[in-house]
Amino acid sequence: MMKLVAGLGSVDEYIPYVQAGADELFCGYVPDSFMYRFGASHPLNRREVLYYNVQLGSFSELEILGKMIQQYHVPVTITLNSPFYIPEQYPAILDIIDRCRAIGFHSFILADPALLLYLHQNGLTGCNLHVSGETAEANHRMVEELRALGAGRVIFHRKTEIRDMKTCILRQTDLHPEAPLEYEAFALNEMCHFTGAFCNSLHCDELTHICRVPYRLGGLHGALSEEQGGGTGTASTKDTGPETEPGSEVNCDFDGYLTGQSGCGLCALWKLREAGITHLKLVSRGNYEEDTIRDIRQLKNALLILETSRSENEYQFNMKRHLFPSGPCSGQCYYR
Amino acid sequence: MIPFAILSGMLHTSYGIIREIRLLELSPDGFTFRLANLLPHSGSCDSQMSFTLHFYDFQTSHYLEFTFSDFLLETVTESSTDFYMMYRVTTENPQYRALAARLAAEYLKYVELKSELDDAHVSQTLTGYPADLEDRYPESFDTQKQAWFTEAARTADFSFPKLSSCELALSLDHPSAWNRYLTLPLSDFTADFWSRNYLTAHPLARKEVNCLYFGNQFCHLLFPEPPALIRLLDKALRENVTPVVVFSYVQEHRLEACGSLLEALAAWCLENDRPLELVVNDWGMLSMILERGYSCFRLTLGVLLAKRRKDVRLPYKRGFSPKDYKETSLQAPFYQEYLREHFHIDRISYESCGYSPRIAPGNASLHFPFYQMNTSQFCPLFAACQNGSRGNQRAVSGCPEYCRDRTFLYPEFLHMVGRYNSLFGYDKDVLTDPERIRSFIAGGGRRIVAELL
Repeated sequence: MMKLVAGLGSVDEYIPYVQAGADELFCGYVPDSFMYRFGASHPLNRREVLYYNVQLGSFSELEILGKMIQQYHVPVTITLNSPFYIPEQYPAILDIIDRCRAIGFHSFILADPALLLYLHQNGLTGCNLHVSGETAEANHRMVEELRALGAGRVIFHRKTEIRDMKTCILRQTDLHPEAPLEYEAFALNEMCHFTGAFCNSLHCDELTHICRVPYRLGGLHGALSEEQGGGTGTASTKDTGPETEPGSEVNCDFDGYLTGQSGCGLCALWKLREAGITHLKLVSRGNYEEDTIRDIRQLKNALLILETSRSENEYQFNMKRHLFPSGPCSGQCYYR
Repeated sequence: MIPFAILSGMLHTSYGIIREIRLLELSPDGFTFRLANLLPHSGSCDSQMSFTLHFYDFQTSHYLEFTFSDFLLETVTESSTDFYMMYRVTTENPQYRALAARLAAEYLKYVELKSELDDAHVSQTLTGYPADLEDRYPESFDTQKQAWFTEAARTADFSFPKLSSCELALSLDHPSAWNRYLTLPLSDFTADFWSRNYLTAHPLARKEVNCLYFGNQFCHLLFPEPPALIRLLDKALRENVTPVVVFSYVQEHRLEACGSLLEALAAWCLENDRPLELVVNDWGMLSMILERGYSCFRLTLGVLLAKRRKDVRLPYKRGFSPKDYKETSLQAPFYQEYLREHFHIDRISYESCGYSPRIAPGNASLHFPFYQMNTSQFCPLFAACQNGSRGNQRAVSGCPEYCRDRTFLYPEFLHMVGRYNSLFGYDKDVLTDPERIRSFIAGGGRRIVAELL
């Protein structure tokens, strides 16, 4: 069965997420000394806001998490996935990794090829290095380069077609039948308008994400006609995905919860498994704990239905019947 | 729970051990924290024990460091678990009280703003971002360009043409541009290029064009058909300008076609007995070139791989200082060596993006005045035109080239545009202040690339 990987915003979420069914978790850890030295201009990972609880916090919290892992045996990966760093950050990050390893954390998510290179050149061994979906386009040749630098898992970015994942995995398997990599795909939440690896704009507290700045569909050389979609009606600040089909109602719970409301790959699980995906990502760092618990349970249920289904159609039918019993899903499909 | 990023702490024990702690509950007279292991001096105040706290100052975007040792430390067993012991620190230290009160007030203010106002007005309150200008749009991208470039041409310093040590390249990044080049002699094309962009009067338009870039770094679908590409290369050669072929990212299903194209380009090099410059934006493509051992290509690391922070709103960011953003991984010697020795990268692409990037040793190109900020492989413009919503994206097949006449327009004051599958910012200063290009040259840059979209 494909494994479910969920994001952790705080130590206190570890046990509830494990009990809900997470097979693996990931979290951010930014040491006090790193923040003090580099500030918010040069973040350690992609959660660049300060005013939200999206990082685990201090080293002492990491030690507590380490004790929890010893008891529950569900591993946690630490996210160090900024797309690039400045030169003096590389030794600082190696130091962070060494300190984390000393208390039992051996898996890290990285996005900067230069960081992967630096760790390789400095003889880092015995770690599980996951290449983040924030890295760049993933094709089997790029994966080959990253594998040579020590990558053990590839996280396909959100705009990767399943057919490309499948070919990439097949070709990698052909090249290295004795040493297969792990492959992770996005399964729930936070579908973005732009590709993470090619998103260079700010993600800070005081300015919204640039994809949420209002815009209009307009003409290159003159105003567009209404038929062309021009005019004043297309400005949008909340256009995070496709509109719900006309006539249908969004099937939220009384408290506003709907599985996959901001991005969903549940219908694609059959094809993702067929493609060779080994892990499914549930984006959840910074979300409400209760929502994430429900997300984990829903994704876990979908995986169980997948295991017992004999065809893709049967899986999709049963999954929708069980997970969305009272109405349509969000329609925010990752994979179409 | 106070976010760790705005308040963190270090506990110094009498044994010289330093523990990084997270402050959980903050109050004017103390805080709680927890540890996986018991402290040896719990329950009493150890005179050699102290705390150093880092309070984030939202006004300056820096941390205020404060150390104190006048406190009472006690365990809170009722809040402790098998995994940690909870501690409470109580103090009457007046400086602590002031800093804690200020941080709590700033944090609460932020939470209130986020719950009461929309994004733009939160930004306005916190940074002076002009939210009320968000409803002023240009009529079209063309009218926007006319306003920007006419003004730039009018106010430009005439020392621009004296940049003789620097090559000038034009980026032909969409079919109408390279098709037009195929039908016009270079001099006519160049005049037309500047004229269409309202830059005929700009001093740069008097400078000789040395290179032509064919293709688009950001959209894989904006690439000349192979026969047209060969015609473009041949024509450039005849007209004595250096042709540069520009590639975007390469999805798995396009690798094979990419390989065939490289073969065709290698054959062109052999036939013409000359190397060819390629701008590459995909590690897999670099790997393919490496494996095949092509020696006829001069490789440029493209904008998508030469990552840096770029946002038209940077000046609104609290504590923004251009010097904080000049450097990237490209300044790291180990990375420079890897790019040069492993991938045989000969040149690196930079952009003028509201500040001058620091140039790494070696050849460099500066793209101006537009710079890429965001790109999506699943074209947002296609999604908006075809599916009625920019977010309703899927892989594009049979692209009808909506970008021929449509674009995403943004509030005028932002100086940005959604062109092709990307968002671009406009660096208005680079066209008026020759110092921007001079500093690039002083840093070792020898080519500027007019990227006029």
